[in-house]
Amino acid sequence: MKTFRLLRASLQGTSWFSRGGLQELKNRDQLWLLPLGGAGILVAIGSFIMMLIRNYQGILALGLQAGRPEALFFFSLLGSTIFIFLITIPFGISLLYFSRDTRMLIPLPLKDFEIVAAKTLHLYLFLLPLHLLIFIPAVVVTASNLTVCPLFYINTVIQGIFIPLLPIALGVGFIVLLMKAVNISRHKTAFEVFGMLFGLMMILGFQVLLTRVMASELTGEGQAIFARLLELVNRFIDALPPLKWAAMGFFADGAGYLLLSILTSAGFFVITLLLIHRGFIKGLSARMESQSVSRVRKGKGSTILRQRSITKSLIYREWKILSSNSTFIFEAFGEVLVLPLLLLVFSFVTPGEAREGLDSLLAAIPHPELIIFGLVVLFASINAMASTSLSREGRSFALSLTLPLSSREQMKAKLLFQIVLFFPAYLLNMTILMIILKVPVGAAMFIVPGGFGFIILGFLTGISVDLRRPVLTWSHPQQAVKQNLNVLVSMGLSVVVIGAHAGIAWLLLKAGMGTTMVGFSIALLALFFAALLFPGVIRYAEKSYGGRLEI
Amino acid sequence: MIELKNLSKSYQNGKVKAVRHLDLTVKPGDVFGFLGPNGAGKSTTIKMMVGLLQSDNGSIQMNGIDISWDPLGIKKIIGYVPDEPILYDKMRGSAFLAFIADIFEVPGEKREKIKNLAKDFELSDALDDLISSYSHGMKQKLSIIAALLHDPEIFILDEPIVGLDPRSSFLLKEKMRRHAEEGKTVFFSTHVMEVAEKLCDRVGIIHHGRMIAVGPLEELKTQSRNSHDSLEQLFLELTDENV
Repeated sequence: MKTFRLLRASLQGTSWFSRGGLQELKNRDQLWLLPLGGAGILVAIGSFIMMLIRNYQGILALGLQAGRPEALFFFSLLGSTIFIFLITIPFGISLLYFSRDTRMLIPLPLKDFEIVAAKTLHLYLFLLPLHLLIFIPAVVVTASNLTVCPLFYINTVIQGIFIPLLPIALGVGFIVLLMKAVNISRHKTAFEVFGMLFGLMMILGFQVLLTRVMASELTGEGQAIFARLLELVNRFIDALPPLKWAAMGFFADGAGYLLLSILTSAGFFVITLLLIHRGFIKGLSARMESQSVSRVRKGKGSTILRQRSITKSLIYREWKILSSNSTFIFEAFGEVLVLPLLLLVFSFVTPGEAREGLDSLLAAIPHPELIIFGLVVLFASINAMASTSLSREGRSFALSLTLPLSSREQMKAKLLFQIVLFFPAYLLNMTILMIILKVPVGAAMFIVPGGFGFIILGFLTGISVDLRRPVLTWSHPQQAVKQNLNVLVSMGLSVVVIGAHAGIAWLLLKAGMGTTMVGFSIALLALFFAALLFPGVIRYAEKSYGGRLEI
Repeated sequence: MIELKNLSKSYQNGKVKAVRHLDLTVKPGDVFGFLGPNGAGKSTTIKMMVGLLQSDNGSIQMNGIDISWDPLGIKKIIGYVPDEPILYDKMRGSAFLAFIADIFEVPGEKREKIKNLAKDFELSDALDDLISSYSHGMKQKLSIIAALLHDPEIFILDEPIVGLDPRSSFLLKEKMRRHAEEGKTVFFSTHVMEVAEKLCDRVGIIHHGRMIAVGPLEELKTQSRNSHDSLEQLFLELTDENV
């Protein structure tokens, strides 16, 4: 019973949807976030379900042709299993090994099993909606296309509850092995970045595969692929018996399969819990110990003797904050490398013939220099770095307030850091696009200084928003970047700024000015506005650093 | 020298009055102990003194510099140890101290002193470790070293003893005493009456945002209605809600 009491406390203590969570939102005058977030989630879920239903209809037809009506259930359960297994890993690590309440629970009179079971059930409740999201559309598609027996509906309820137990058990088992093999607390950020990269590679790989299949269908290879697909469906289903039993349990004479699948999922879950709870707390304590043991003891603080200028120190500080966790690293480098990544994916997924057609299309584009200018400016100026610059500091912003630094120095360092981050990427993007679009090198004469101006303008826009209302009391880095409204506001403002420049460029072209002259004019204008706005932002920063922002 | 005049601060649009019309002068060479029950306004006052909060009314001057006119001037002469260490977790201890030294423009030739401070606080071996691996006490020590490395004219500490081991606690008290003997000002808040009793030249007791007693300890003891042997008894009498 203590397990369930613990689970209840854990949900009450950590969820925004608990009474306390709602009260906290109310206290912060942020209850409005709930309907806004709810609407966003509904739209996302709605789109996802529509996409699933369309795919599921195809899989059902394919399964019927292969003589395997259970194919749709098999693949939806497989999809849910893979998703849940993958998501269990980061969330499970966080919940089992890195959540703050573990330190509080260890001294309490609780058995290892009770703690592990409560945390695993918490994980289960967290992941159950994801399973239902993938699974229920399969039920709907099948029920609306085939005649189903009463067992079908019983199985729907049972599989809805039991299937996630299997991937969660596998995921938790994997985590425990991983924690024994690697000291993740030492390499947590690297591990998270690797996980995110792996996820990205999977998405890209899937995209490449889909596009290639579609392209080959267009080129007449469709029939051969379809035959191979049917064979693959059969092999897949037979290769994974627990999911096969679960899928076959939906149809007449499937009661035995249903029982088998329930026993497998529940049995696996209980066995995993029984296996992993032994020594869990001991292992956790050892991990905490290893975390506090000194590792590097060579210099004994020789860094202290190295004197740096204030600006260099502040830029170093910006870098240390950015590299302090995977969320910030991934956000920054994702934004810096977004265009080269897009071009890379594009080059992979576009068939050769289509690329040749594209060349002639690109050759017909008017003013390619200005198009490139606009594109690279767009990618370099619209980002979440400046608009979260103060927010990323979090509670340590208090340190910035107590240091004897003028707001000019703080802003200068933040601006230089932004330039260091985005200007090289801007130049790289410009070079790639100039090669692809075969633009004369001379255009760089205005694209380079113009980009410099726009990067500064983008920074000034973003930082102004963050100076007004930074998110400083975050407990997870996601809140500082991904859930920070400043990002959205600043991106909107940047679009307006770039749009205004684009409008001026269009007017100048209409007035008969040459492409190069228009480019120079826009570059000069951006630099002029940047120089004009900088002192104003410094004055605004003086207020924020001078006591307006309280922490 | 610290001069607080008619200092007030409220929260939630004036509903909660954290500090009310506080007047206080701390002379150079003094160790001043700022006492009060939980929620009395100690931390709020200190946060206003170091620029973390803006006062609603009143003025704060340190060595003749007004915080509203020259906040940077004040920040240059103070060393502040917060109640919870504020550090960059992903920096190494040495890098953090180097960062603070750079900001205070401590010249290279004077930086050997920082290493000595780390040695005094038995932190030398951990300087090249990530701050995230430090215990609370180690973080507190690092915070103290960071506050002392530029040899501040005014040393302000908010609950500095919490989390320190006995040796470091003793050492910190020594440093505070010596700092005052060098003609500098030391201002700290504490709940530990014995520390205040042994260390302070003067104490101030704040309750519900008001300064209810201030002066040398012996003077306060004699002024009270009952004769007290200890600061603890005096504190309990002055902050007793039922009196």
